[in-house]
Amino acid sequence: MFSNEILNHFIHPSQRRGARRGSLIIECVIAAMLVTVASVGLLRLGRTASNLNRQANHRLAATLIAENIALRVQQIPFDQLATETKAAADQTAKETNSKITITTKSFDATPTGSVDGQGLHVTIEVRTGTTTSAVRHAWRFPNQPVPEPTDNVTESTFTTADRNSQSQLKLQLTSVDLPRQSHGGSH
Amino acid sequence: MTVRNKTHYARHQAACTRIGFLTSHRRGYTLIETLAALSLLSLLATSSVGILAAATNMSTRQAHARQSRRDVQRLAETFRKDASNTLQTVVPESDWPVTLKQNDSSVVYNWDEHKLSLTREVKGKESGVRFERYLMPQQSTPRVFVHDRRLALEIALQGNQTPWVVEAILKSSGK
Repeated sequence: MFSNEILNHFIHPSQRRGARRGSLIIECVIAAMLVTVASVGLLRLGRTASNLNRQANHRLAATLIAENIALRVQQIPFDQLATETKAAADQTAKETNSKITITTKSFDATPTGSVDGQGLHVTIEVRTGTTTSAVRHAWRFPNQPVPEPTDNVTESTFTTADRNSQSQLKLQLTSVDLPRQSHGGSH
Repeated sequence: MTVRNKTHYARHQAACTRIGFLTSHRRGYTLIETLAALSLLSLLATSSVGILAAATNMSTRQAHARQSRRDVQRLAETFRKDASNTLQTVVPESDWPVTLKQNDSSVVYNWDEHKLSLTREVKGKESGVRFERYLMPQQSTPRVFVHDRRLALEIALQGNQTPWVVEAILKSSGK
């Protein structure tokens, strides 16, 4: 009888039974592993994309709510701001099932030259979902009339003189990030 | 032929016989192997196509969601601007179309359920007709409410997500 070494000498390596059988199984295992890895990666991608999409939706909802409240704040007379702002926030929070925090901080508006007395800086923070939130700011000045809606609501709330006062205020209130053009800002 | 050559020939013959035996067995086994390989390949191909289809579908849905978010932000700005010029608001019982009558023009917002979009049509004597379309999120149902001078557009989202609400102050509360 011949030994296996002698037999293997006559048979081409690709035609050996053991080698072919093994290669088929190994190829299938490798292919299945690749497909599994791709599937797991795609599942993770899908889950992450879904979470990000939900977060973006919450963020947009929060942004819109904050803008709505900022719009309402501009319609409230200055002397009723403290009470009416809270009522507006509570009502909106109930309607939209979100957490709304409104803080008002007075500041001396006299040095601006265009207005006298204490102005109010209103910070509106809206939280929807678990982590997403949006912040808007509104500034109100004493003796400032409630703006009538015109062509552009955001642009109509300040006169040119008020805009100048904003730029002067920016130098004094270093802790407050004032917007560039209108009363509403965000971060 | 010498004795040594005879021995070598016999060994060679025997080896060839064994090789032939092996190759004849391998032929039958190759058919099974081919069938198994084909079935496995078809299984892999099916799963790969499924994965690709899922990825494409996911990408399309994400693109739609992104576009709808952009459009709603754009709509919010336009909606507030339109409301600030509105003298009379007409909201039918069926919710749509909503007409905002202004000085020399009227703006009609309508909900196109098939195209999942909100349309805005401006009809004016001087400005002519303008038409815009805003894509809405999938499975959403926009509604418009009027309360005093406040006009609100609510876009309910699928699931328990917070709805998108755009509020605007009307120039006049006339209905």
